[in-house]
Amino acid sequence: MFNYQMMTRLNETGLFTWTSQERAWLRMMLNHPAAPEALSPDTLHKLHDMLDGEQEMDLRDYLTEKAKSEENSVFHPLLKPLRQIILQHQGFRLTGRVRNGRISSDQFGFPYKLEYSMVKKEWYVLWYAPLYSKLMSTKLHSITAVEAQLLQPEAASEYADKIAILTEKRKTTVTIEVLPEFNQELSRILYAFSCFEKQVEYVEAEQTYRIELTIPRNEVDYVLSKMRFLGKRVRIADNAALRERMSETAAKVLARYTESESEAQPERTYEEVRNHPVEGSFTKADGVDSA
Amino acid sequence: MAKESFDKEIQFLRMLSLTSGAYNRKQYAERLGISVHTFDKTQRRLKEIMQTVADQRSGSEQNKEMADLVRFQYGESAEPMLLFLFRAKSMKETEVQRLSVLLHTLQDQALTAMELLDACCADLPEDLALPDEKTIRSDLKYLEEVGVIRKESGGRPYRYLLQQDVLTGLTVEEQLELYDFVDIMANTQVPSVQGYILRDSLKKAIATSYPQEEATEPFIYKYHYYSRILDEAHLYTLLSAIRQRKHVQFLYYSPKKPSSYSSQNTNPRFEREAGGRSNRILPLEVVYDHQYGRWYVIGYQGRRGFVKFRMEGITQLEEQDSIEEEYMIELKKQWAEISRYSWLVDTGNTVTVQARFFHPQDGQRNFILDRVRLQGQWGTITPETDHTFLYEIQVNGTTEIKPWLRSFGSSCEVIAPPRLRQEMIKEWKEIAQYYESVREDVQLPDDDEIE
Repeated sequence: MFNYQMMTRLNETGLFTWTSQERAWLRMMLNHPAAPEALSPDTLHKLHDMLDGEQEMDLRDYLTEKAKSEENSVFHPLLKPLRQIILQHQGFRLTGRVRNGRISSDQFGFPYKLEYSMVKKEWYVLWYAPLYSKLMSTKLHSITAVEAQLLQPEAASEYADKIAILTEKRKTTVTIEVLPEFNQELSRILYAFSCFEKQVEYVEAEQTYRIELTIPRNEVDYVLSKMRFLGKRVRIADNAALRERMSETAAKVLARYTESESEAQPERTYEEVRNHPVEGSFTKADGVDSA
Repeated sequence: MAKESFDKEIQFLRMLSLTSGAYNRKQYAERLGISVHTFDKTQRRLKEIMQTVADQRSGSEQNKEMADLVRFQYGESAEPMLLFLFRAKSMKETEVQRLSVLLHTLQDQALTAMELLDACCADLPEDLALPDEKTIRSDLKYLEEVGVIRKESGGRPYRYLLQQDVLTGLTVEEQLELYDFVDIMANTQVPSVQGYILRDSLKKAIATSYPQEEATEPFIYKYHYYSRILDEAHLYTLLSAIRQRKHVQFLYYSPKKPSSYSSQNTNPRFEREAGGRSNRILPLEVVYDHQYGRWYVIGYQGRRGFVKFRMEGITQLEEQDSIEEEYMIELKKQWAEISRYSWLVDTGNTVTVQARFFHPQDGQRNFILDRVRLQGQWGTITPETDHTFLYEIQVNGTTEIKPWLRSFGSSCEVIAPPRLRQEMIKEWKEIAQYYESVREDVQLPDDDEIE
C-alpha cells in the first residue's frame, strides 16, 4: 500500500484503500475531545460503528509530549461556516471584538485561508479587506458574528489575484548567522528554524552557516523570540532594524538585573560573573547522560 | 525492503530539508557518509517518488532541484512535503501489478480467491508470468494483514471484499467533514503519519465531488515542525518494542557529529571515522519535544542506567529478546520518578526556578501572562505587583528551561537559583556585544511582542 508505484496505479481508477493502521489512528483521534466538536453526531456515530472492531492504538503509556502549549480546543465552531464560505468563493460580513474592547462591526471581506497557530493554539481567518486593500487576520475567538455574502466570480478572482500580490509584497528576509563555535549545535538550531521558509548557506572556508528566513513582515517578532530563545548561539547578520531591536532588548534585560541587584545586594563584578560555569550544550541526549 | 536504504533516505531527507541549499553534492555525500554516486542514485530515486506521488499539478517541477522540491513553502498548503518518504517502500514490479489488479477487481464486488486468480490471469499483461493459486493466496493474506481487504462473513470458500466503508458509508458532505477532521488532527497532534496517509487518500476520494482546490486546502498551520514526521518511521518499531518489552539494537549517530549516516558496506576504517555507535537498550518511553519538534527515546542500558537518544540519530533499528513484565514495570516506575520534573528529558538535580515576569506596557493585552500560562507547564503563577507576577517551577536541571525563559527578553527576570540568574546576565552581556556596533543611545519602545 505504501509503495508509490502501487499508489499511482490505484489512483488511476480512483480506488480508495485504507489500512488498519490508518483506522487505528483515526479511532484514537475520535477519542480526542475535538472529535464531537468537529464532526456532526451522525458522522461521528457512523465512524464509531465502522471502526468498532479495530485495534486500539492507545499511546498514553508509551508516548509523552513535553513543552507543549496548553491546548484548549483544536477546533472552533466557526471553522465549518467559514470553510464553506471559502469553498464557495463567497465574501463575508464580519463583526468582532478588536483591541481595547472596541467592536468592529459589519466589515466586508473575502476570506481565503483558515490558519492555526501551533504556538498560540488559536484559529485565525485570513481575509482580504477590499475597502482598505489590506490582508487581515482575525482570531476566530474574537468574532461575534459572520454572515456569508454572495460574490460575482469576477470579483472573487480579482480578490484572489490581489491576495497573491499582497502576500508576496509582505514578505521580508532576515539572515541569521550561527556562531561557528556553536556549529556542534547546528542540528538543534536548524530544527528550531525548520518552521520557517528558509535557505541555508554554508561557507566552507570559515565553517559558517547563514540561515536566510523568508517571513511575512508582521512575524518578525516571532523570529526575535526565537533568537532570544537560542541566545548567544546565533546573531542577526543583516537586518539593521532587527539588530537594533536585539541590542535594545539586551540593554533592557541588563538594566533590569542591575536595578534589582542594586536593591538587594552589592553588584557583582563582571569577572565574578564570568567565572560561573557557562551553559553547556543544552541537554546531553546522546545516551551518555545516564541518571 | 532493505532496512539500510530506508534509514539512508530518512537521513538524506532530513539533511536536505533542514539545511536546504547549504551543501553541494560532494559535501552532502560526505556528511551522509555515502559516496557521491550513492548520493546521486538516492536523489534520483527520491525525486522520482516525489514526482509520482505529488499531485501532477504542473510539469514545471520536472527540472527543479531536489532541495527546492522539499523546500517548505508556507501559506500555499498544508501538504506534508516529506510524507513521500513513507511511499519509498520497494516492491517488485510484478507485485505492484498483481496487487493492483486484485484490488481493482475487488472494487465492485466481493470475490473468492479462485475468482481472483482468474481475473488476475485475464488482466495481467501478457509478458508477465501468470500467478498460481499459492501466490494469490499469499497476496490476499498480505492485503488482509494490512487491513485493506477483509473476508466477508459466511463460510468457505471465503469471499474477499475491499474495506472502503469510508466511501460507501459516508455521504459526500460527511467525507468532506472527515477530511477536515483528519487534516486538523494530523497537523496538530502526534503521531501524524497515519493521519497524513489517510488525508492523502481522502483527498483523492473527495476530489470528484469537490474539484476546486479550496476543497482540500482550506487550512494552514503556522510554525509547525514538518520534519518531525521523518522520525515517525522509527516510532512504531519503538512503540511495539516497548509494548512487547523487547530490547532494541541500533547504530547511533550523534547529531553533534558532522556525519549522520554511513553505508554498511564501506571499509572498517571509514566506518570508524563516521562514528556510528552500536547500542542495545530496553526502550521505556518515547518523548516528543514541542519546543524543537524533536523526538527522543528513553531506555535502560544495564550499567549505564537510564539513557536518552535523539531519534534523528537512530539507524538500523532492530528488535531483540524480551524481558519479564515485573522488571519492566519497576523500570518504568523508576523512570517516571526520575523524570517527573524534566522540562524535556533532563534528569539533573531538582531545583526550584523562580522568575519575575513584567506585564506589557499600558493598554496592551497581557500577552506575557497568556504565554506563561500556555507554555509554563506545571509551574505556578502568583500575582506580585500591578505590573509583575512571579512564576515558580521545580525542574530537573536548568539548561532546558533556560531558552524558554530567555525568549521573553526583558519581560522576564530570573530570581532563583542565583547561578541561573548569573548565567542569564552573562549571556545577555554577550548578546549585547554581538550588536554593539549598532547600539546607539536611542530609546525604542520595548515591544517584545512574542507569541
